[in-house]
Amino acid sequence: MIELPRDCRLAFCVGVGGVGKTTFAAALALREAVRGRSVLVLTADPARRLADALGIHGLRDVPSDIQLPSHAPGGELHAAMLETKASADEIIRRASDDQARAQRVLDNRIYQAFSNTLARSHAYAAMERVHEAVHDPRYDLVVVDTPPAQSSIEILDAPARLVTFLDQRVVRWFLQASDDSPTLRGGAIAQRLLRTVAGDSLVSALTEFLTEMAFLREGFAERARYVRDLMRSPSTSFVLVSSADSVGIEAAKSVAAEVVGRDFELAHVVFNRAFIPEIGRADHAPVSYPDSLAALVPKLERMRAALVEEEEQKHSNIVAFCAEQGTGAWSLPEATRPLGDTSALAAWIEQGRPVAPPT
Amino acid sequence: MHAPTREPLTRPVQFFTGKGGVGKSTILGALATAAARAGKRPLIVELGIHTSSSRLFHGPNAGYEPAEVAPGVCATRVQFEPALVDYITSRLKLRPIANLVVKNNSLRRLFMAAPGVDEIVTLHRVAQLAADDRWDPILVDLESTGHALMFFDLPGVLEVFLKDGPLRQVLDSATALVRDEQRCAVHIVTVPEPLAVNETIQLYRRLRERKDLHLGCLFINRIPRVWLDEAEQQLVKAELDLASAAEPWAPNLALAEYLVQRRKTADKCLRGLRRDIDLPTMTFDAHDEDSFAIIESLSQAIEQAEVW
Repeated sequence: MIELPRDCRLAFCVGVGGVGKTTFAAALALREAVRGRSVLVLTADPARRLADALGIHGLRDVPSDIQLPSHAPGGELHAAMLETKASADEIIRRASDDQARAQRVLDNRIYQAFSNTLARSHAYAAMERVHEAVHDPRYDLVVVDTPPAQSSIEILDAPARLVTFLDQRVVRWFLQASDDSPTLRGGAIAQRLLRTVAGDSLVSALTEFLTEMAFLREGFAERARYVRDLMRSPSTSFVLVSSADSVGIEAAKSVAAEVVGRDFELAHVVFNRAFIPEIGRADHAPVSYPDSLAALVPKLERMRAALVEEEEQKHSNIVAFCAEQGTGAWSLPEATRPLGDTSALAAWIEQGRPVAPPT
Repeated sequence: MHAPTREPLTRPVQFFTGKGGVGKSTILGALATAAARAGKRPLIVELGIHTSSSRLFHGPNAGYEPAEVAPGVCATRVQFEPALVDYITSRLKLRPIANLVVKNNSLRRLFMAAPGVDEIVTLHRVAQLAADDRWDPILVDLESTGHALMFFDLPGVLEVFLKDGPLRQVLDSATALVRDEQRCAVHIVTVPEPLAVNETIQLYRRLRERKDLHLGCLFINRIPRVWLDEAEQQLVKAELDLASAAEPWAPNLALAEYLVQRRKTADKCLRGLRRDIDLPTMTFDAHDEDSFAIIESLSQAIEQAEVW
């Protein structure tokens, strides 16, 4: 059974797009809720897949309560979708004592342009949400469904990046380099170069933005440091979700390398749509069909053989992946019916099979 | 395909977008292979950290400098740091100074963390490659739908505070490229599966709202095989309804029924795509082999369409 360690408080589902990552994140969160934990599943993916998988109408920035399929003492499931703009505005307002000051940041044109777009802003907002959620006493566990590939890594790197950028020396250097004091001449030269490269209007706008933001800097830096360290703590798990065809396996290798290369703990590797449950029940020995089907027998056999071959190919891909990576993995079945509610979702993840457990 | 439908594929710069996992890179690799065989000089441009071209062609990872990954097919990966150095060099004219700027710890942190820098230097690099007449066509692999929308929306976002200056020039040249119907086309890749189809139709609508973009073709990948005709399907269904699960052949019928349903779902998706997306369309059958063999058979299908 695919489960997270009991002491896990934060889990990230990573992987390339189109492999059922969101569905899996929902199923994993549900599984943990059924085990009696209070779980928040947070999707950073703007597509509405999490809501679809949970069988609810829509998701917003504010968490919705999800009904569990069976009674589970202590178990609760909540789900929310990260909206960058709404989250970012809320973060700024909450972090500010002075609402007039907060409003000046919200009105800043750089802030407005970036809070609504761009992978990097999205990643920063996600990081803040994670920080907030792990501190919320209502949740024992937070499961994060990351957006596909590139942006997924973006989210993983955001805290460390923000920590470096918000380093007090860098910001002070940048803001004070505008003065012509001799001790900062190096900074002044660099800023002149920056003006040549990026243009006066952008550098001025950025200076203005950083000045407006200055009072928020320490708080942001502190939360970014916290999440950066939390991601490497033993209570955080990463789960890689992939497809098992040859192209998917290669993508899984590169995502695994990204995760391990950052010293993150890869708790599980899950291969989705790796088998069809009916195949296991089909008899591999020659079968005698009723006369009514006689004309179809060769075709039926070829169809079965095609599916068996597809499944065997995927299985050997997974086994080779495990051998190469020195890891265990789980395979999950192709959902032959759409997973549109929590009962179907719970039944689906229960069918997970271990492949090549780690030695 | 009819004459007007293949025209967008002859333009020098082509962007490919679509939901992750639909085989965008495979289609792009097949197009590049077919173009090379037709005597063109295709360049695959990959953005971000993943290099699909090396997986597809079983070759080395694509680096920043374009290199041949298959006979006649070159690939490049737009990596952040060299693209940044290239951009800065274009402003300062001296590469050693550009390298110094990038090595400056504080500036480096600023560039690494600031939203938008990545996208701008990427736009700059793509425009730079497009201006280089060594390549035709340039096939740009935009990672996922969200990424693509960000990519095309960026100039509009930045215009607000980039009234002038060097970055404005980058935006202007990238915008001019994207708006030029003679030079550029945006293609959409999808598969006939419900989730992908919904996302594809939304993507198409959003791209079509952008009057300055020129949509090219719709590529529908991995169309499942038709195993049984109508009468055979009826028979399977009828027998399956009657059979008790204990019959040894019942699971085999269930598998056949599963394959039939897979194709029916695909047909429904294809109808939806045809109804909602008004673009010249190319379809490709599903293949089980490895990527190399898939590229081979897809590129043959493209060659038969006589694009070039």
